[in-house]
Amino acid sequence: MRFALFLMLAGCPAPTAPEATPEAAVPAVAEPATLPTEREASEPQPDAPVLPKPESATALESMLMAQHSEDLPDKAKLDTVDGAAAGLAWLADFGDPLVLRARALDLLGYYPPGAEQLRTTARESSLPKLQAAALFGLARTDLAADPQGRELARTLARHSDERVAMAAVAALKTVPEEAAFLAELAADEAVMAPVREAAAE
Amino acid sequence: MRGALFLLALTACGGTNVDFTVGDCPADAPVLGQAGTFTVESWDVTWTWARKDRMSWAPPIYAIVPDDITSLAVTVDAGTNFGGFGWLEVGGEVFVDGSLYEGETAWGDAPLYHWPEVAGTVVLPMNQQTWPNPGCMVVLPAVDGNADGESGTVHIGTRRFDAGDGLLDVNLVVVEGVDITQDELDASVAVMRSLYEAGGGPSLGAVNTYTVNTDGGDVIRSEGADIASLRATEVGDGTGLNMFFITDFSDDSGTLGIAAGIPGPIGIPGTSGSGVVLAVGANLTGDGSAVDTQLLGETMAHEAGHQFGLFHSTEETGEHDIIADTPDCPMSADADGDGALYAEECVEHDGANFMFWVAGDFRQDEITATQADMLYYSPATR
Repeated sequence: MRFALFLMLAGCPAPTAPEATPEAAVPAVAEPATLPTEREASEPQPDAPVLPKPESATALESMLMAQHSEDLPDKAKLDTVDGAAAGLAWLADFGDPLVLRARALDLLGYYPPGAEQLRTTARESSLPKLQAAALFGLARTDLAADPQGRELARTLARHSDERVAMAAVAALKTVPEEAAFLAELAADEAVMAPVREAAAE
Repeated sequence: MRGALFLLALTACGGTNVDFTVGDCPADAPVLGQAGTFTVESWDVTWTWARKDRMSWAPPIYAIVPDDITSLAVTVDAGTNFGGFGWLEVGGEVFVDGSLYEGETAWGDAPLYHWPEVAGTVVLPMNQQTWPNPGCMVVLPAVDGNADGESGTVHIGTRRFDAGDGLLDVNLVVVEGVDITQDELDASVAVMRSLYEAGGGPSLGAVNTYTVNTDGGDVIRSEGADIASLRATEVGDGTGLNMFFITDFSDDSGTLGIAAGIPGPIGIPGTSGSGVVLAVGANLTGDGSAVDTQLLGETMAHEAGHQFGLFHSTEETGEHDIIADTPDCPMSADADGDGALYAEECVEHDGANFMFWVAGDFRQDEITATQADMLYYSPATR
């Protein structure tokens, strides 16, 4: 039906249940006392040397440049591309424009091997947009079986950039065992209001 | 049906009848607008919940569309509720009939593909089949869901002058805290301007920049009260197309920008859908160091196209808009056989059209003559 076109945004699809490998303790997340703006925080993309672009990245690039995020591919569509996970991983690092990297990170969550890259980006990127996208990606993984990812999301739920904190809450909401933490977050007046509201929903 | 008492029954929901007269306006029905100008007239309404319909209704509005009509826009503003039309008839032609399950004039179907939205809007014309006729206009406002006792507003914007200079005034409304310079705004506007001009659409007229401080701040959700409040922000003299710049959406990191609907309220300020919202943080270069002004300008042009009422010329799976002269990219162009049509595969068709569903590795700056007409004759263009 054409009226579907009116729906300008769709929520994140339900998380899949990939196999995740619990890992060691999470390193602390560094956050500067005064947050730089997105562009002040710009980070050179890893480019020395640039990894060869996988063929799958080229195929995925077309899919990921949909004008609207509700037209982004689902898992079944991604799976039509051989080596989709590798392509997404490459685009997450080397894609241009930034939205291509963000979308690649989000969709990388469909693939269990991508979880480590998602955790690394969420923890270490200086760009809140990419941190948030990585957390949305983690929300697609089996976060319940990923204590490292859960701990990271808990930490980032108190991040001072609203995008990061909101994405962390979205990720934690996929884990029923995090209900108590979310309730605590919702009651914490030190947390920004939209994040408290999201945690309480 | 002309002159008859029509009982609108939403049969999908069991049928609560809403009585109104089709076709003939009462003697005291106002004549819309003023000759030679664009005018917005508004009606305050109160919603009544109809449980069986699962809709809320307001009494019908009758008005006379004059002979010199060029275009008009009707918006049902019900705050964050989804507003729309149970019935819309202009000059004896029915454009929306919400009692139908499917088929022409049903919700989601030709010729307007209307569906309730935040500040649900129809614009005439939206394509070559929907030029407004003079005569009696009947609007039955509706809200999707229970809004019993709440108030809303129906706005009708009427353009009663010919093509004029074909200029579109644009208000760039930057929320405080957004990291974008005037030079970057200007460069992005230049991209949008050149795209519209090259395609034969309206050029941009007055372009004014405003900085606003809103309750929701510069990071907001893509739905709900904050974006509704932002879109309702009024600047300048209320004319032109509002383009709101935020840092980002908090619920989706992949959104470049969003229109309020297809169409959104055009030329009607102050509603919960009065403008396009652009996420500057999504329109940055790959390393996040600069605004990608080409991308932002194309996003502005594309989302404004939706706000004006243009659909994607071709969708991923081969659906097409009903504008006759936008080339239809056929599924036979699906070179890789993956069931999706990409810009590169449709380059011989509409892959370079500014309303194609996905960006390509080339500029998408084509506008067809009819698309240009829709922009040119829009109520918001002068």
